[in-house]
This record gives sequence, structure tokens and C-alpha cells, in this order.
Amino acid sequence: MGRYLAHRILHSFVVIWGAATLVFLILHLSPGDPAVNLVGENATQEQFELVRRSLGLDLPLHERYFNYLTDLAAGDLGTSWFVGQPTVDMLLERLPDTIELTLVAALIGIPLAIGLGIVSAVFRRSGLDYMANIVALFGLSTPNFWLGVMLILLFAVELRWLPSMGRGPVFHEAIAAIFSGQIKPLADWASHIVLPAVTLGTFLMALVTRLTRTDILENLGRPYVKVARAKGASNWGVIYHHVLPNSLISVVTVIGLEVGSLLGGAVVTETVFAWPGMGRLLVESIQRRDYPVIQAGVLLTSFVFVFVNILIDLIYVYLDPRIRLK
Amino acid sequence: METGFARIWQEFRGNRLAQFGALFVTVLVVTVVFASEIAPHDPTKFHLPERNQPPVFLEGGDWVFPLGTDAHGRDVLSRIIYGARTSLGTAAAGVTIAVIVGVTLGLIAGYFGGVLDTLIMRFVDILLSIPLILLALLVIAVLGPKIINIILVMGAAGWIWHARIVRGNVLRIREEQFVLAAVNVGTSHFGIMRRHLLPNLLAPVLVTATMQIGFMVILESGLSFFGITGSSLSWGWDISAGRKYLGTAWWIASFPGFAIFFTVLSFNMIGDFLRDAIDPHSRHTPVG
Repeated sequence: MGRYLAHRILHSFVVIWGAATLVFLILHLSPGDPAVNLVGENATQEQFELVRRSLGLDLPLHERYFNYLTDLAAGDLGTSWFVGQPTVDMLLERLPDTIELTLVAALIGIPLAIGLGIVSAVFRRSGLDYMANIVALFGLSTPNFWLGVMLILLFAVELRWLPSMGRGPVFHEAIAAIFSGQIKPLADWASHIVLPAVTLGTFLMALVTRLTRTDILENLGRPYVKVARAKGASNWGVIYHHVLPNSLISVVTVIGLEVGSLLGGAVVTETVFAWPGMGRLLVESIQRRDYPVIQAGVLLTSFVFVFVNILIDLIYVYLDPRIRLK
Repeated sequence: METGFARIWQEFRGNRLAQFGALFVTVLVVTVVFASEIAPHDPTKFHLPERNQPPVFLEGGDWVFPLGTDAHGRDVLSRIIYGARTSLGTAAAGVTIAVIVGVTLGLIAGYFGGVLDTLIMRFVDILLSIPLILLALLVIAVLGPKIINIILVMGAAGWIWHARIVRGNVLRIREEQFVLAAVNVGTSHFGIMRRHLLPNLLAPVLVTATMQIGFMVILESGLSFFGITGSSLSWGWDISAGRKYLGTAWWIASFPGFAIFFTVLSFNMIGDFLRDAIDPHSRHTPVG
């Protein structure tokens, strides 16, 4: 277990280093000089050179890369060219909002998906199964930015039930308010997060529904199910005690691999709903070519992806005692 | 794959969803090719007196602009027809590159193994850890908003789908009798790949490629939605532009979205069908 973890963590470092290098190369090998954006079109040659030198853009590529890596190793993720703030502070200020949105999306989507998948598999070829399949197929085929716009059209513009953008109070403040007897902050929080969370979670929900269904059907044909039935386990008993623990393993794997697309979805969703998360910050930074923020942002995204997948490996051991990590 | 094509055709005749998908994609391809003949209007022409005109089934609509007009009086239907060119063309080109690169690298990784395999699969892991839309936004911001750059991003990032599938299949096929026999009689590496491995990879790659086209249509629309593809004649761009008029002219943002939805749905249904028809294991799922 210890050796396995050490190996995994080493591998993770390789992946994160690779992602950092890839982004560095894309940014620094591309034509055009980002200093132009900083000094503006009308700057003199001297001003332009001054900015380039102060940002280290006049150095040869390998020296820039070396500087970048040594700074990184020292824990310095750079300073934003436009805001002048350390990129870490900017990103960490926005990260909780993105995590909150992603978590709520997953918490709405995944349980619903597993439920739909179970019902769909147990009542195979019934009307329920048919409906669950259609829901999943539709979910996989709907672009999230359009879904977001349509939800705004329906619930904010036409029905006027929910706000179309922005966020309500912070979650922990809303919870704290409950203890002082106020329910309104929590309702306000929920009304702001429900549309973006549904927008973000739909794709994952559809994917997991399908997967759960296929996996349960596959497991139902295995000998251990026959044994359980022979021993007199009820239909739902077989599902709950025998099949589901097995199926959850493949579900958890897919969720791990989908963390990337979930974070990508957050970029889009945050833009549609003006949600003040990391995704929106990255889109803004990309638009004004703020290299340090982009580099740090991609690094952080890659780190989150890798970290969640290590976590999932550990969940395996819990879900399936037969798996011994080595 | 007992009788190959004949059996797949038999399956197809019994599968309503696949038929719908194939029909829609056919219509779409015809639309893309004959856009200028089919579209009732020039998609970029302003009809200012008729701006924000509702679709024909609403009060104030007429058959001149069946799906209504946008804020500048441009015909929504014609824009959808021309937008299909951008979205589908970009996606198809991107997937083609992705398939070529992915199959090649997947073959190399699975067949030769060793350092090459490790290198290629590490690169897959790295690309997997960066959300595709983020990578695409980044590359477009740096290389400029041109359709060719979007196609390149799709190819440069999309190959990992095919490489993983191909590698897995090669690892399996490599150990089969007919490949081992070919090795024994001294067939070259290239010969083995071309004659023995590639034909067996066609089916799984076809399934992944079909699914990927739908995925890339969504990516292209997403990038157009951000307004950075260099083309304003795209489904995503129209959805973004229509957002401002949700309260007054909902059709501007809604109809292009349905076009994306049905396109992706069709490719998904064809992909599902192909997967089930080609791989008998996933079809005859045993039931309790």
C-alpha cells in the first residue's frame, strides 16, 4: 500500500510536470509577443523593451523554462501581469466557488443517475427503462452552454422563479444563518446554484446512468448472483447487497476520469451564469493573455484531476476488499 | 462478426433509433453540401424592418422567415443551414486528424510496448488531466481565432480517445494465433500491423470516431459560443448572440441549439448502434 501510493504520487508529479511543460511550450513557442498587449499599440520601442526585460521575455527559451521550473519548485506560481497579484491568491480566491458548484452538480447528478440506472436495469425493457435511456441519451447530446441558456429562458425569463446569474450568500454563511433562525439565506443560496449545477451535472448524470445500467445487467448474469438467489435473497436484496457494491467500482472509475470534463464544463457554465469561479477567471486571463495566471490555472486543474484520481484508487480498496494496492 | 456487413444491415433494419440517426445525418450532409441552394436567404443579409420577427407558428410570423429573424433581421433558418457547414465540417476534419494520429500512436504503443508505450501513454495521461475546452481556449488565444486552429486542437487532443482503444485491442490481438503465426513466418512489423492488426481495429475505431464527431460538434459550438472561432456563421455563435434577446426573441438562441442537439443525438445513436452490432458481447447482456 505504501509503495503503491509512492508510485502513484511519483506518476502524478510526472503528469503535472508534463501539463505545466505543455502549457509553457504552447504559450512561449507561439507567434506574437504578449508584451504588446501589456504596453498597448502606441508604446515606444524603449517602453516595449523595458516591459519585455522586466517579464524575462527577452531571455532565450531554455532559460525562461529553467526559471519557470525553479520558481515552481520553490512554490512560486508567478504574479499576474495585469493585476499584479500573486496568481496563487487569485486562483485560490476563486477555487472554492468552482469546487462548490462542481460538488453540488455531482451531488445532484450522481445519486439520480445511480437510481435511474438501477431502476432501468431491474425493469429492463419496461417503459421505465425506455424513459431512463432516453433521458441519458438526451443528456449526452445536449451542449451544456445551450442547456444553461434554455434553463435561464424557462426559469428566469419566462417563469421568473430563479435568478439568471450571479451567486447568493456563501454556503457556510447560509448554514450559520439557519442556526440563528433564518432560512432565507439558504433558500437564496439554493436558488442561485440550482440552475448552474443542473447545467453542469447533466452530462455526468447521463453518462453514469448508462454505465450503472450496463454494469448491473452484466453483474446480474454472474454466478454469484445465482448463488445469492439460491440462498433466498430477495430481488432488491441481491441488487443492494451483492450487485451494487460491484457496480459502484466501475461507476467510481468513470467519475474519476470525468473530473476533467467536469472542470471543463465549469469553465463554460461559470461563463453562462456569471458564476465567480476559477473557470471564468481563466477565460478572462486567456483573453488578455495573462500567461502566469493561465499557467498556474492549468497546473491547478491538472493537480485537482490527479489528486481526485488518487483518492478514487483509495476508495477502491474500501469498495472492494479483494483489491490490494501494490 | 459472423457475417459482417449483412448482419449489421439486418440489425439496422430492426433499429428505429439508428434509422433516425442515419436519416438525420444524411439530411445534414446534403444540407452542408447544398447550403447555398437550400437556404431561403443570404445568412448574413440584414432585413432591418423585419428584425426579431417571430417564427411562422407564432403571431407576427410568416413563411418568408420560417424560424424567424435575429436582432439584425437575418434569417434564423438560413443561418442554421450555413452554420451546419462550420460545425460539422470543423468536427469532421478534427476527428479525421485525431483518428490518424490516434490509430498510429495506439498501434505503436500496443505493438512495440516498452519505452515507446510508456512515453505515449504518459502523454495520454497528461492530456487527460487538462480539460479539452481549456486547452482549446488557450491554443486559440495564442494562435489566433481561425477554423484551422480549432481543427488542429481537435486533432492534437482528440487522438487520445483512439490511441487508448487501439492500444487495448492491439494488446489483445497481438497474442492471437494468426498474429503469432505471421511473426513466425517472418512477416515484417509493418506488414503485421497493416494486414493483421489494422483490419481488426476498423470496427472499434469506427464506433469511437462516430461518437467523437458529436463530441467535437459540441466543442466547436462551445468555442463559437465564446466568440473565438473566427466565424460568426456558427450555431454556437448564434446562441451566444441570442442570449441578449431571451426576453423578447427567444427563437434566436433556441433553434441553433436544437440543431446541435439533434446532430449530436444522431451521431450518438449511430455510435450506440454500431457498438452493439459490432461487438456481440455488449449486446447479449445476460439478464437474471
